Amino acid sequence: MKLIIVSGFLGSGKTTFLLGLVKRLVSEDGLDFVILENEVGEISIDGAYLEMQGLQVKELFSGCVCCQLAGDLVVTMRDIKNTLDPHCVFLEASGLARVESILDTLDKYYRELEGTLVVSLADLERSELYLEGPMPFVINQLKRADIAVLNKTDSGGSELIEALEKRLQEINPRAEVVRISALNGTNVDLVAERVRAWMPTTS
Amino acid sequence: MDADDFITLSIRREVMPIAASPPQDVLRRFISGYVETLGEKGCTVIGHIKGMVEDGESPPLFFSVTSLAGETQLKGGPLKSGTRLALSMTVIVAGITADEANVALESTLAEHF
Repeated sequence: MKLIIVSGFLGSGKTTFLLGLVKRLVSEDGLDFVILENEVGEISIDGAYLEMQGLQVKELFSGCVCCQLAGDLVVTMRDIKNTLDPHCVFLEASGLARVESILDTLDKYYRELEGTLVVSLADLERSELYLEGPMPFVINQLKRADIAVLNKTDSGGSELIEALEKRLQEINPRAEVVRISALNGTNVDLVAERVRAWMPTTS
Repeated sequence: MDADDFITLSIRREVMPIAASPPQDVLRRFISGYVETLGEKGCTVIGHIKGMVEDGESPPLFFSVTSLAGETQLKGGPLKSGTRLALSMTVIVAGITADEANVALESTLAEHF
């Protein structure tokens, strides 16, 4: 079982992106997967939205899987493996999550994973978060990314897109930056291609 | 500012719009009024205000706001007019306390529902 962590600041479009990505991987590759949805609020909103789209969702809410719910994350991963054993789990982390803490927890307490890919979203509509950098945890989400997704490119001009792309490359030179609009579906195929290259899927 | 500077507030409530307008219009005005009140109370960052509204028959209406100046994004619905609605909502903001966010929420709810 492999794990794809989708991270990114609050409201950066993670759920919309995840829906588009998973639909492509399911329809074209027959990927067998489970979505694990983490929300800091006491009510699951995104999980309800994804379930309404016909997707199989497990939920961890009322805290963050990087800290308060770290133990629940490990228990849930074991439960998913034992009961469903999918090819892949997509973990949508809360927008406040510290990705490095999630990775540390899994490294210490759940080593059965066959691989972990981190996809982090940056939000063009809130470019100041990255260009001015007042929130270290937002920058850290991107530092741990294997793929940095620059989302909402339909909401800004090319100059801003280029400036933010350059900034993302500075934050994490290791990650490939992919420009998308999850809302319009633009370039989500490109991310799906990268995921396919990382994870040969069953058919 | 760090992740710990954000407060989270969740509510689940049955509501009845006061105005006879379509529920999605009432919802937009409610969210817009709430965001404005949050700003007046000293909120500096709208992390995410999101939720869903159900009328028991139509597909749920999901809403999302990510800035003090931002427009409410709606998906789903439309909901039936003139019926009670189940509102579920999560507020993640910075710059004010959870109590302040809650007081602002209750007063804005009372204006619209």
